[in-house]
Amino acid sequence: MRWLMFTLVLLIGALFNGGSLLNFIAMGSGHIRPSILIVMMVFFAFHAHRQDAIRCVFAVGLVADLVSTTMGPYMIMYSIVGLALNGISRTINTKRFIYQSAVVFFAFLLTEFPAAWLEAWKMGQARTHLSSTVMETAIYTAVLAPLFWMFLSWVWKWMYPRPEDRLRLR
Amino acid sequence: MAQHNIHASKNSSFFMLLGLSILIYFVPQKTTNSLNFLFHRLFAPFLQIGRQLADEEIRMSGPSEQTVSKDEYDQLWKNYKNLRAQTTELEKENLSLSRLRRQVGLSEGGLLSAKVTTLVRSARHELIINKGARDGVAAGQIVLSPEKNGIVGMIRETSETMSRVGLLTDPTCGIEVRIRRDGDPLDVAAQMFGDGKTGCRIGFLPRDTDIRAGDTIYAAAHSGKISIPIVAGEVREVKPDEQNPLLWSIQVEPIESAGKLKDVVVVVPNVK
Repeated sequence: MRWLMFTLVLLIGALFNGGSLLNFIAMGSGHIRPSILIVMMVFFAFHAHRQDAIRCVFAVGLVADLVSTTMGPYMIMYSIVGLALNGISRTINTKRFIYQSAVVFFAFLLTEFPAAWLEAWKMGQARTHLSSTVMETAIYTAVLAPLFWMFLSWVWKWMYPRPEDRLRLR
Repeated sequence: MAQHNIHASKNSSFFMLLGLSILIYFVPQKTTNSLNFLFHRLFAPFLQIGRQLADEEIRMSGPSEQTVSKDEYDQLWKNYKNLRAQTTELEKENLSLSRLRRQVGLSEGGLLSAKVTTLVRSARHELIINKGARDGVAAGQIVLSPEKNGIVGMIRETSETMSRVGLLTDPTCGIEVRIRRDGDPLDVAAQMFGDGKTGCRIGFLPRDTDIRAGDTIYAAAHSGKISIPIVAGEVREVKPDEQNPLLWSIQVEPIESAGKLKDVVVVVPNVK
């Protein structure tokens, strides 16, 4: 795997997630924005070989922590959920948009709630409206997930230049 | 062969990274927040792209909100004139207070200008500014707009060179306020919190308190923070609390739009 290319894509995702550009597509009074990093985590967990996937999801978690307020929660949750997703990558057909959305939706719920609790535990400040915010963000991210997925599929061939190295998915 | 030997097993790699994550999680926030601030400092120019335009999109209102009726205009005009008169009085008061502050050694040194590097408005509503503990900034200090006539939020945490400001709209940002009305002796003390969206809320006020839409919210003068009340917002809606009908649920519209801010002023009382 070409890690320089991966780092570049990850950095772009981090700048979108942590920056203001996504405010253009923020929705509702709660200012709900999609999470690009969760789509990246799911994509890499599904497409990379196990060893690379473990490193990729850890790196995505590290970046998710960097753009948020505290270090640790996302690294822990992305590592655990990412490994689990890598384990089931051959049983789910992620070529269909609906499955991409569904996987991203559940992955977001599985990572965001525990990460928010871990964050609250460390910071001593719980987020208010947690359930509604997480649900709305999960739905919005799931709806847009196929778009981000397409972009990631497009850059994937530069990360694994030799087709025989790429994981064969259903 | 040698390469094969040094390869860690698949599971040990996972457990090693998970262990590292848990270790980082348990490092105190004071230490790890420097990493968050470092990211924001390194990529500040990129993170700011689209900030102002995006904020204008969010705040764009319909034509009905951009015009007022003649009666409302007259009312606003009178209020404006009254405010001008009050401002003149306040300027005199401010002048004497400034003299007093200079005498006790606070002077303009108590106000620290800072640049806004990032606006975060997702799970939390925060600004990142380019002044930190090295400049005398500390958690709990009040942050004002550049003209020093409106409150923006409070310092939440600091690194050596940067700070995180909790905006008034952040649900975890609570400040003491006074509710006042022009031409009326009304002066009610309350606690205001952000609603996590675009406004703030005030609760725990009994229904017999006379609060109306349009009343002004001031951040209360607080020893060591601000010496005079500073306007923070306006009461948008007053309705009975759904869970406790004996109390008011008050919606407040903040006076400052954080998205448009390029600079802020931190009240640093201990700087001499």
